[in-house]
Order: sequence, then C-alpha cells, then structure tokens
Amino acid sequence: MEYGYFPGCSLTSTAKEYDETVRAMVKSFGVDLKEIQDWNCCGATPAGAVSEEASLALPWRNLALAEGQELTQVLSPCPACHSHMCSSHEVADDAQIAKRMEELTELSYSGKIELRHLLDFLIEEIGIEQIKEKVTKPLLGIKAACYYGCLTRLHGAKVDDRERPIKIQQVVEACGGTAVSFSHATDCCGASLVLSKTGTVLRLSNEILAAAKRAGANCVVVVCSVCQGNLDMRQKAIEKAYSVEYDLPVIYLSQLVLMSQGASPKELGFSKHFVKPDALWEKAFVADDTPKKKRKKKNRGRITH
Amino acid sequence: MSEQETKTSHTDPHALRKLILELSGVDIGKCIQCGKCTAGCVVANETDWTPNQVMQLIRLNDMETLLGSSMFWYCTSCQTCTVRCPVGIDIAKVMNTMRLLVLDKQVDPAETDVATVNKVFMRSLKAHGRVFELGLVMNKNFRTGHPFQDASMGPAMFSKGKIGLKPHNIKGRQRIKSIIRNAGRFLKRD
Amino acid sequence: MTESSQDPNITLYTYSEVEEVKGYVGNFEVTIRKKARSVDLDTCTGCGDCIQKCPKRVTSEFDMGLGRRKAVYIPYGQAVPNVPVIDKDTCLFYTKGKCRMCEEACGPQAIRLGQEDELITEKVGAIVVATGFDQWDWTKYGEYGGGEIENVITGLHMERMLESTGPTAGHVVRPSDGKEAETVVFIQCAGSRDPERGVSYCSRVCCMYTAKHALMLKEHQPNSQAYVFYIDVRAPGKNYEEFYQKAQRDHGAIYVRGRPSKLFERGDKVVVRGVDTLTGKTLEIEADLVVLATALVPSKGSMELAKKLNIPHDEYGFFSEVHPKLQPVDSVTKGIFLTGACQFPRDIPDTVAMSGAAAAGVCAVFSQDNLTIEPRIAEVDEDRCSSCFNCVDVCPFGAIEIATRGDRKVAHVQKSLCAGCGNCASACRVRAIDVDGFRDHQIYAQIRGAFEWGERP
Repeated sequence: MEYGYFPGCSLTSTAKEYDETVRAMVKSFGVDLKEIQDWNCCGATPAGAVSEEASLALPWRNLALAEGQELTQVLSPCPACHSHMCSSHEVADDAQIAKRMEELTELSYSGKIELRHLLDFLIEEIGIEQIKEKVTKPLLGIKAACYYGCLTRLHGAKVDDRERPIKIQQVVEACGGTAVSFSHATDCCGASLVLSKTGTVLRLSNEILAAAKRAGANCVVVVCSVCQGNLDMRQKAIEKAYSVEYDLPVIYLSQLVLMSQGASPKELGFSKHFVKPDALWEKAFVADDTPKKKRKKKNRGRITH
Repeated sequence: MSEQETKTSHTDPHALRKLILELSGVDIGKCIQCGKCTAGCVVANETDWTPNQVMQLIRLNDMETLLGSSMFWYCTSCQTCTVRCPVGIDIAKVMNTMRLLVLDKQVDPAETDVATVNKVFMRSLKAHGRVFELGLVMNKNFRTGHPFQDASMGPAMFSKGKIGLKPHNIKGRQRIKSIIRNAGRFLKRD
Repeated sequence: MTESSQDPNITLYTYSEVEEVKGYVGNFEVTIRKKARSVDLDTCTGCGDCIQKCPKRVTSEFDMGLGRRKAVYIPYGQAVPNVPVIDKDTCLFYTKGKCRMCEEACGPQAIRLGQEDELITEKVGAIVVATGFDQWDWTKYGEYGGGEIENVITGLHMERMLESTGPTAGHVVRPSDGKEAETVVFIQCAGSRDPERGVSYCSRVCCMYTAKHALMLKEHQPNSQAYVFYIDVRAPGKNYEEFYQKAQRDHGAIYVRGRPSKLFERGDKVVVRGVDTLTGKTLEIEADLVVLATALVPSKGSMELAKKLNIPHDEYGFFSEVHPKLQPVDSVTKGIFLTGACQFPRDIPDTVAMSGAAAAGVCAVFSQDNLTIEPRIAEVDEDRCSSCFNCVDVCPFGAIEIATRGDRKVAHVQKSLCAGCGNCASACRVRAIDVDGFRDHQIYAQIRGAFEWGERP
C-alpha cells in the first residue's frame, strides 16, 4: 500500500525523531510513505491570526500538490498541520472559496484526498489486530499517561470522544503496555505561546506533568510535536520553576509502537530527547510486580447514576 | 473597514455582533453567559477580559474596549471553550476573528509579543516556504527585546540535531510569498 | 399513600403497568399487567421475616447504590403496600433454582415463588397520567469524569444521604472512603440549559433543592462548607427567594456564578475548575464531594405509554397539554388528564396544585349526565364513503371506527374522541368526511368574505 505523507516543519527539525519513527513504524506495517514533493508550511496558528485566506491557501497548495502527484490519501503526524489541512480540504466544496484558493495558489484541488492523522491512521488503516501481531517485545513495564493534546479533538483527528478519548490507550494496550487513568489527557500545553509567553506554557505543562505523575505514569505518550516539545524540552525548566521533580520521558506513539517491535534506543532516536528515556527502557519490558495500591473501601455498593 | 461601517457601529446597537457574524460566521447571540468557556480557559487569569466577557462586550457593541483587550492574544486556540460551549458557539473562532480585526483596524495589539511572533513567523514562511526555527527564534528575540531568551537551550538543540543552521528553501517559495502577500485578511462569505 | 390505600373507593395497583387502553371518555377499558411480586398481597403481614432470612444482598436502587438491600425487599420505608417483592434478577431461587429460605421463614405462608404476571381489565371513566421524571444521564459529560470519579454524585444521592433513616444515617460522606465530606461543591445545570449535549430547558427545581441541600449540609455537619456554582438562581415561588438568601446568609453557602468546565481527581479530592464570572477570576476548588444538579427528563417508558394513550409529546418526550395556559392539565384526548413532571419538571407545590386541578377535571366529567363536546368534529357522509379507511390510519385520536351498514362497511366517527383536527377530511379521497363548521363551502364563503370586505359600505 502507498500512502501520501505530510511531515510538516517541526518534524524536519525539533521533532526529527517523530518523523523517523513514523516512517519506520509505517514501513513495518507494509505501507510505503510518499512524501508530498516540495510541500510548504501549513501556516500553523500565526497564519490564521494574520490572514484567514492565507491560512486556507497554504494547506491548499499542499493538497493540490499531493493531488498532482497522484496521492489519494495523506498521513500527517502533526495534529495542527492535519487540522489545518482538513479546514482547507473542507472549503473545496464551496465553489466561491475554492475559486479564490485557485487564484491565490494557481493550483486546483478537487477535494478528493482522504486525510488521516497518525492516530486515526493507526486505528482505522492498520488496525489494533495488526499492531498486536507485530509485537515482539510487549511493553509490560510501560505505564503510559496518554496525552492527546488539545488539537486532536478537532474535526480532523477524529478522536472517539472529545473529552475522554481512548484511541492512544488502545494502541498502548495493543503493545502490551498499561494506560493509567489520566485526568489531563486533552488539556492544552500552551502550544504556540511557547515563543511569546513561556511562563504560561511552563504553568500549563507543569499541570499536565503533575497529573501524569499523580496517575502513576512512568512516561507520557504523545502524538503532537508541540506537546512533546513543551513537555520534554521544557521539563527541566518546569522542574526548576515549580521546585518539583518529574523525570518523565515524553515519547511519541510511533516510538512506543516500534519499541514493542524490538527497535533499539538508537533506532528510536532516544538521544534526541531532553528527558532521557534510559531508565524507562530498563523497566519497559518487565512487568511491575509491586502490588497495586488498593483503595480502602467500605462495604458499600458502587453508586449508580 | 470603511467609513460607513464605523458610522453604523455608533447607530446600530447590534453592529459588532453583526460584524463578527459576517466575518466569522459565528453568532454570539446564543450566548447564555454560563461562563463555561472562561472556566476552562487556560489563560483567562492572565488576561484583562475573559472569554465570556468578550462575548458580552460584543453584545454591548463596545468595539474600543474589545480591540484593546489582551484576551485573544493570549488565546492558545486550544478550542476547549468551543468544545464545551453548551450552546455551540465557536468561541475560539471569535477570538481569532478579533485578532484579525485588530490587525485590520491597525490598532496596536495589547500583547505585542504574540503579534510579533506571528509576524516573524510569516516572514520566515515568505522567505523559505517552511519555518526556519533558528532564524525565527533569533528574529523574534531581537524584536521582542529578549535577545537571550531560550539561548541556554541552543547548544543542546544543535547537538541533538533538533535545529538546523541553514534554512530549507522550497522550490515554490515565490508562490508562498505571493500567496501571503495577496491573501485577504478575511475570507469572503455569502 | 396510606390514606388512599385504605379508602374503599380507591383500588391501588402497585408494581403494575398499563398494557392497553381502549374506549373513550366515560368508557375506557384498561388492561393492567399486575407484575408477579412472588409474595401474596392478602396473606402477607409485612413482618419482614423473609427479608431478614434472605441471604442475597444487592445494591439498593432507591438508595442510588449508596446502600444495600436484599433480593426480597420493600423498596423504601413508607412504601405502600407494606409488602415485599422478590427481585427475579438477583433472587437465588430465580437465578440458580435453589434457596427458598424466604418461604421457610414466612409464618403466614405468603411467599409465592414461581408466581406469574396477571392481566386485569378495569373499566374506568377517566385517566390521570402522572409518570414523573428521571435524571438525565450526566455521564455523557466526559469533562465531569463521565461517571468514573466516585466522589461526583447527583442531587438524588445527596437527598438519600441527608435522610436520617437513609443509607448513611444523615451523614454526608464521600462514596470513595466513607469519610465525612467537608468541602462540598454543588454544580447547577448539569445537562440543563445545554442544547448541544443535554437539554435546552431549565429543569426548574434544581436551584431550590440545591439551596436546601446546602442548608441541610451545614445543619448536619457544621464543619462543612458548601460552594454552589450557578448560572442564574431561579427562585420564583412563595418564600423561595428568602430561602435561597437564608442558605447564603445564615448557612454560609458560597454562591459562585459560572458553570465549571472540568472535574478531575487530585489525591483524594475532586478538583473543580470553575470561574466566578462576577469577578472574571477562574478558580479551582478542592472538594470532597461534588453534587451535580442533573437535568430532569421524562421517565423511562413514558414514550410507550404515550403511544398507548394517544398523548402527543414534545421533542424531549414530555407530554403535551391542550393549551399551556388555559388547559394545562387536559390532554388532547378527552377524559385523559396530565399532572406533575410527565409534562415538564415541576416541584412539589406545583405538582400538588395541578393534581388537584386534574382531579377536579375528572369530577367535572363525572358530575354530568351528558357530555358537552366542542361542535368542531368530523362527520362522515356514509353514502359517499368508499370504504378505503384511509381516515382510520390518519386519525391521531383513534376516533374513527369501522361500522357495518347492511352489507357495506363504512367509516364512523366516535364523537367523544374526535378533536376536529381535520386530518381525516384531508385524507378522504371521495370527500366523504368534513369537519363541522369547516366544510369546504363554509371556508370558501369565509375567503370570499375576506376579499369582499374592502368593498362593503
């Protein structure tokens, strides 16, 4: 099977390991990725805040290029890029807006490409069964806080539930790991404010990491490069600012899937992480024997709603 | 905006609500002021007005206060307000429309840092067709007057290969430049 | 209830459901399914020996899962009649075929294991529908934990806990560990005033019962602190406003204006992420217990009943009255009256008042020898009727029956059921039916009159 691929800017720089592992993971399932030739930035949040037309025209060009390169499906690992592409994809149905887009980009797009975010791709295209089949080293010691971030809730990424999604959990469990009950799965990390309001980002990311720690996680699993950046790269700064200690590796879902297929830390690009996943690696494949803390419960029935 | 519209905003008590509807397709008239948007807003405590107050300012037709607000500059576009709004108002979209309106009216943004980052980001896109992180960060630091912000992370970023020294120029960057140059502030809606 | 059970003119059918309703005002024939309670009503003395001996304990529905009951049980203390019922889904005899301990324990031999449902037919002159309400399924709110956070409960749980003879003997406790709750957060409009995911209407009773809960909580547990998140406090009843003020002023309930956005657990507390829109400040409260004032919706099964009784309903399933202001307790079918929360969420005083009105409506029907009906009813020209019976299918009131005239079958309108809607007249292909006062020539005359009006001197 051949699949179009839109990595997006951050996957070529700050989130290189995401790009590399997505490619390797997709390949392991027998799917060939064909990168859209000469793709441009999707415009991210700034384009939308400066010009509504540009925020639609920039992804439009990528969609039109993909169509010209005879791609029928496009996978994007970044939920922000994916969501912007979806917005642009949707206006193809509106003749008036489509005409304006064609004027701006000098390219036409029919609106026929199927767009999938990585999460959606894994569940719908690959399927849990196939993920399970490929597992050679079950992640018995992984206790993941599945962090969806805020943007996977939007139209494009098709999470199953906007408040309590379970798609990442399904993948983590298919790989033999455990998903902890995590209260901040869809809370915002501060995202694009990282360059302008760093303090805000530290505060928000701190809340997310604290929730993950509270839930008893030994890692945070993400599907967004911005989330990873804020939680991993800034973790030291957060620990300093709030006098806390987390030491929680923040790994991409693609890294997790490859881990369960026996990939080495080098192949996973772990050296690119700021919070070293070394300690996690040591316990990732060993079941945790310490008995679970049981809540003391009075002999009362479970309340009904 | 044309002169005529400014005039009507003084005479028509619903002018601002109508303007937002026209520009974004979102009608804030459904708002019941329950406050759930603000309760879930991650930045509401750092801003001068809160999301539900922004809705009310639109109702009160108070363009001046609204344009000077910092709310929508802090907004991370995380969409929590939109997802949870019980009456289905796309609040995040209204916030973005406000950002566009400030630029359109050429008012000074209440939070220059965010506006500057947006500007620098678009400049990077115009030049290369993709984001050039190093150039972006340095340019932004220079313009916002914090030259050494995040400088401590630089060496690690380089050694991990997370940030490149040279930009990647795409072939179609001229086209990107013209897209950004010619694109209108607002999308024309029927 | 006890009083009505002792009245010689009242027959109570408890634990029973209406199967079928036929007939019309003054002549209803109702088939009632008297469900098998596996205990004989007449022999049982209500001593409770069977309950004591029953080895099977399950969670109590009446206590909202906060307490336990046996498989043979009386739903609640004041239940009428004071006769237990055996829950077939959990009883060891019904599920595993053994036990029979209740049978052995019963002195008067009132246990009837294997008893079957009974169908009873009653002739009645009028029907009053009072099917009440259920709680909206708030677990649809993922941001409030979706039912996974144990210490998030509803107003009905709170009601049970505040009851001195209830499962916690009047103590307000955290379901997670049974500890007394100190900080209690009440959240109004959980599902109400939410057209996107809940219901768009205001559930009308929550503001006042929450004020009551906040007040009683302080009386039961003086160390406690209540916070009430509200959008608007609606207290439009006699002494209601004063009561709400009292909860704030004398009982220290802190009212915060704004709907919270998220609930999550931190340690053994539930964090409420809310806002006070009066100051514009967002705030987090660490609560021991969160009480949701869930929206009220029509009771389960009311849709089936609506079909059996031909009662129209709104988009939510609340039964519609003929006129919301002038005929608030009359259903469109004559002789069927509505009261209480089957029409819309109502509090106790309103329900009592409307029930009185419904009872008076019944008396008005019964006190007349002849029934006065609206003149606007359909009439069949039997000579014209082609016996297609389209009209029978389209009549929403079941007012058209098939009558035999010699060797022909013709449509016949049951006058007391007809509401004069005109559906049959439009459906009739041979124009054999018309509504009195709205015959074609009469309508044409009206139209002509309207156009000629300007020319009149």
